[in-house]
Amino acid sequence: MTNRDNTLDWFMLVLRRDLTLSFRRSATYITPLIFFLIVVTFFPLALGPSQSLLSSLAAGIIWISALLSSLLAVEGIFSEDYRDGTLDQYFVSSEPVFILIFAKVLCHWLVCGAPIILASILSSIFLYLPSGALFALIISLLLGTLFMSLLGALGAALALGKSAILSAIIVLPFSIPTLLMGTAIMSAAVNQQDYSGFLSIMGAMLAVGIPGLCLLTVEAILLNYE
Amino acid sequence: MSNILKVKNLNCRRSGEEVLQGVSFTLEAGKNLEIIGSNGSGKTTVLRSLLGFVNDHDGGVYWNDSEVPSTFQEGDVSCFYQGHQIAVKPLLTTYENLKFSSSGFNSSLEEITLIAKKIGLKHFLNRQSSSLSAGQKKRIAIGRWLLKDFNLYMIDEPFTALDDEGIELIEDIVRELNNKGASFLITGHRPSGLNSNKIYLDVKNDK
Repeated sequence: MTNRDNTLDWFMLVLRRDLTLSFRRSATYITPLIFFLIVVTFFPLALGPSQSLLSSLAAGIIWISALLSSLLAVEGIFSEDYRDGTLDQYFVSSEPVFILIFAKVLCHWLVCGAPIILASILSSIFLYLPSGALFALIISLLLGTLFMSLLGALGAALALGKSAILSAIIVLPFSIPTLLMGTAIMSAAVNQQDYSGFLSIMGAMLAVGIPGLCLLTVEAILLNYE
Repeated sequence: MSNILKVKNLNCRRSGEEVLQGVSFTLEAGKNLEIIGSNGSGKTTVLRSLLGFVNDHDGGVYWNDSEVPSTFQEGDVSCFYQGHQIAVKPLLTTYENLKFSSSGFNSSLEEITLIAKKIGLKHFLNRQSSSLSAGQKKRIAIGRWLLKDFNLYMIDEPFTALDDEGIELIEDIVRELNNKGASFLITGHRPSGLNSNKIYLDVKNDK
């Protein structure tokens, strides 16, 4: 019944719907962005403006701040649709739920992750990140924040109907591999070494994570329906 | 006529407590069934266990004249479910609420405009639903029934928040969809004017 065109239409529909809703409620994309900028700004204030110190810490600071702020709005991926009955209707319809979850993850990434990546370019300047490492920062955050959105969706599904911060707590320990890979890429780039191996591992994590985590998220949502 | 759904002796528990005992009914294609009962009698639980949202149940649920119990997906029945929460987003316009629903994504602007006219919201097509009344939001939910053809509509208390005109609207739409072969399984506190079989649920007052 569902051919390929139909599946693509369904995917685009959910993506368009979630983007429309996000942009009408501007707090969803502004809050993580502001949070990221504030946290990043705290470091030079607390550590002092020493260029050599900040420059060596810059990559780690940006990565940790990006991880934390991308989890900020994660609870909202499903909570509203769960409360107002939209998820019920989507689950009963014959359209593939897996596509629905992936579209919602992608929307969260476009709305939260992508602005953070842009802001990280700005913050790399005042944290004295060596300019040679900027490309590595962007590409590693690109993969890293998408993985965080996937993990975040799983956390949000597990914490549905419970406290908002719970989803972030569930997810944070599982973000360690992403953080390790991301910072490994960065330290290699800062020392002008080849980082393509780490990048491939991150790509592989994402390739497994997109189908794997989306399927787990479907199951986690179904758990909420006793 | 063939049976689209046959339920035999359905028992259902929620958090270990018996909510439904021995519910049985059959629903023919193109016919309607109303489940009537007071608050807490388990009307919603019947619908949600048929959809697989409540799993702690036993008894036979047979779809499409099948001899073996199955889920509605396995029975190849297309369902539309509308719960108490009617999934109308305040931040979306009437058009978007119809278009972005599980049934509407293949519908064109013309089709949606036609449906908006039918449910009396033609002039609110581009108005955000936050400015609509509860009854008007309910009408949007009703409009979704028409976006796509389903075999079975499970609607939890469709008549709440509606004026007389709205109730007439539902009756018209149900008749129209019945003629296309669709069945309705609805719940309510009292019998409605619909042409339907009715079953009554009692509240369990064991204590």
